Amino acid sequence: MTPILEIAGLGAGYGSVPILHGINLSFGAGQVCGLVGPNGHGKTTLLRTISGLLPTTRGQTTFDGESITGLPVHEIVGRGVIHVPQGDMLFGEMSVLDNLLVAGTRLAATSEVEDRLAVVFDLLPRLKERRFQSAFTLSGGERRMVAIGRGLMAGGRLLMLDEPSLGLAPAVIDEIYDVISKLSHAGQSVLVVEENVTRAAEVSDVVALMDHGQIVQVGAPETLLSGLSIDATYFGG
Amino acid sequence: MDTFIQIVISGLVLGSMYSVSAIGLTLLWGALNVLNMAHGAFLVAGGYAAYYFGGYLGLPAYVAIPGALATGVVLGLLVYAGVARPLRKNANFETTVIIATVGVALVIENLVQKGFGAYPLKQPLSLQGGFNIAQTFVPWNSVLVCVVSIVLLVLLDFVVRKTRYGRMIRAVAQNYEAARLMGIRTGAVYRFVFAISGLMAAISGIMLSTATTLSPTMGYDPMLKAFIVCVIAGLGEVRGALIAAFALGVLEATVQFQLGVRFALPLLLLLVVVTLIFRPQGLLRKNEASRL
Ligand SMILES: Nc1ncnc2c1ncn2[C@@H]1O[C@H](COP(=O)(O)OP(=O)(O)O)[C@@H](O)[C@H]1O
Ligand SMILES: [Mg+2]
Repeated sequence: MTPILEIAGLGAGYGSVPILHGINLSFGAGQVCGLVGPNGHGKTTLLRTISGLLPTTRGQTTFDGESITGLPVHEIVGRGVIHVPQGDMLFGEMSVLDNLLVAGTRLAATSEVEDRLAVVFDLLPRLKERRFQSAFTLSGGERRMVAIGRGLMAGGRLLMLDEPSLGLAPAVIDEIYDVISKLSHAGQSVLVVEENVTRAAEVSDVVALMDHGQIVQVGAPETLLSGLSIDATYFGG
Repeated sequence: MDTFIQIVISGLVLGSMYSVSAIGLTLLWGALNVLNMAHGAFLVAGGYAAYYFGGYLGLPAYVAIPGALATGVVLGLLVYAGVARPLRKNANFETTVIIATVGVALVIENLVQKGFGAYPLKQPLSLQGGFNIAQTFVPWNSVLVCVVSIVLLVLLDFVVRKTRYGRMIRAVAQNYEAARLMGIRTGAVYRFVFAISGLMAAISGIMLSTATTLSPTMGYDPMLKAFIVCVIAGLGEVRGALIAAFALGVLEATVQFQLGVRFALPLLLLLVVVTLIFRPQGLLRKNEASRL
C-alpha cells in the first residue's frame, strides 16, 4: 500500500529561524494519524509547511505517490490536501453557507457543489440549521464544525486538522471527535494535531510524537501511551 | 421650486460621480488593504484616453469609450503587477503601497501633461442637449451619468455579494490565509479587483470630463471626495459608499446653492473630522472589524 502522506527529512522555519529539523512521517490511506506534542514544538509549522503556506527548506513531501514539495498552496489544495487551521479562521462576516461555498470554489459543476454540500450537512446537521447565520455569531463548537465542513467541501482526500479540541468544553470535544471518527469509518485519511494525547489516541491508527521540531516516536496509540506515562510533560491534560 | 430641482439634479450628478470613484477606491481597500493614491490619476487617464480616442483620433464613441475603459483596466493591472505584487511580501505593505502609488500618480499626471498640455480641454464625447422640468434645464449628459452610475453600482454590489467571484473577493478580504487554504488563487483575485478598480476610475474620469473639462489635475478633487465618502461610509463598504456618495452629493449641492460654493468643501471636511472623532469606523458600518 502506498502511503497517503510521506514526509522525508522535511525542514522549515520562519525567516532564518529553523523550526522543523528533518521530519519523517508516513501513514496509509484511510488511516488517522495523530500528531501530538507539547505547545510550541512545531506541529502547526509542520501543517503549514505541508500545505505550502511555508516554504520547505529541505526534504520532501509526497502525497499519494506524487511530490507536492514546493507547489503553490492552491495546487496542493487541488490535489486534495486540506489544512483546517488552528483557531478555525472562518470568514466571519459570511454566512455558514457562504463559508462552505467558498471552500467549494474549485469545483466546476454546480451539481458537484450540491452533492458535497449534502454530504457536509448530513455529517454536520447543525450547520444546515444555521446555514444563513453569520459565522461570527456561532458558538465555539459550531465554528469548529464550519471549519471542518469547509475542509470537506474543499474535497480533502487528506484532512489535516490542527487542534480540533482547542478551546472547547469537554462535551463539545466529544461531539467533534465523534465527527472525526465517523469520517474515519467512512475511509477518510486524517492527520490530526492534538496536545491532548488521550484524545488523539482514541481516534488514531498511528500516533507520532513531536518534540523540538522532530518526530521522536511513532507507533500504535497503545504502545506510545504506555511508554509515555513515564514522562509527564507530554500529558498536557 | 426651481432651486430645489436644481439642487436635486446637481446632487444626483455629483453623487453619481463620487460613488463610482469611491467604489473603485473602497473595493481595493476593503479587499486588499491597498490605498491607491493613484486613483485620481486613473480618473485623469480615463478621461484623456476618451479624449484621445474620440477627439484626437476622431473615433466614434462606441470605440472611444471602450478604449478608455480598457485604458483604466490596463492601468489597474499594471499597478498590480508593478507595485502591489512586488510589495505584497513586505511587512509594511499598507504603507509602502501608499507611497509607491503616489509615485505612480505623479508619473501618470506628468505624462498626460506632456502629451496633452496643461490647459483644460473639452471632452468631445459629452452628450448634447437636454430637457426642462419646471423651467429647470436638465442636460441629457447628467441623466446618462446618473443612470450609468446606478446601474454600474447595483451590478457591482450584486457581483460582490452573490457571485462566485464576489465570494472569493470577500474571502480574501476577511481572511487571506484561510482563503489560500481553501484553494483560492489569491493572485487572480487581486488582479481582478485591480482591474475593476481601474475600470471604475476610468468610468468616473469620463463622466467627470463630460460634465466639466479635462485637465491633468482634474483627479484630485474627486479623489478627495472619494476619500471623504470612504471615511464617512467606512472604508471597504460597497453599499455604504453608494449611500454616502449620494448623500454627500445632495448635501454639497444644497450648500453650494444656499450658502455658496466656497462653503461646500469645508463643510464636508468638518463632517469627516466629526465622523473620525465619534465613529472612526464610519457612520454606516456595524462593527469596527467588518470587511466587505
Ligand atoms: N509566524 C511565526 N513567526 C516566527 N516564529 C513562529 C511563528 N509561528 C510560530 N513560531 C515559532 O515556531 C515554533 C513552533 O510553533 P508552532 O508550530 O505553532 O507550535 P505548535 O503548533 O506545536 O504549538 C514556536 O517556537 C513558535 O514561537
Ligand atoms: Mg499549534
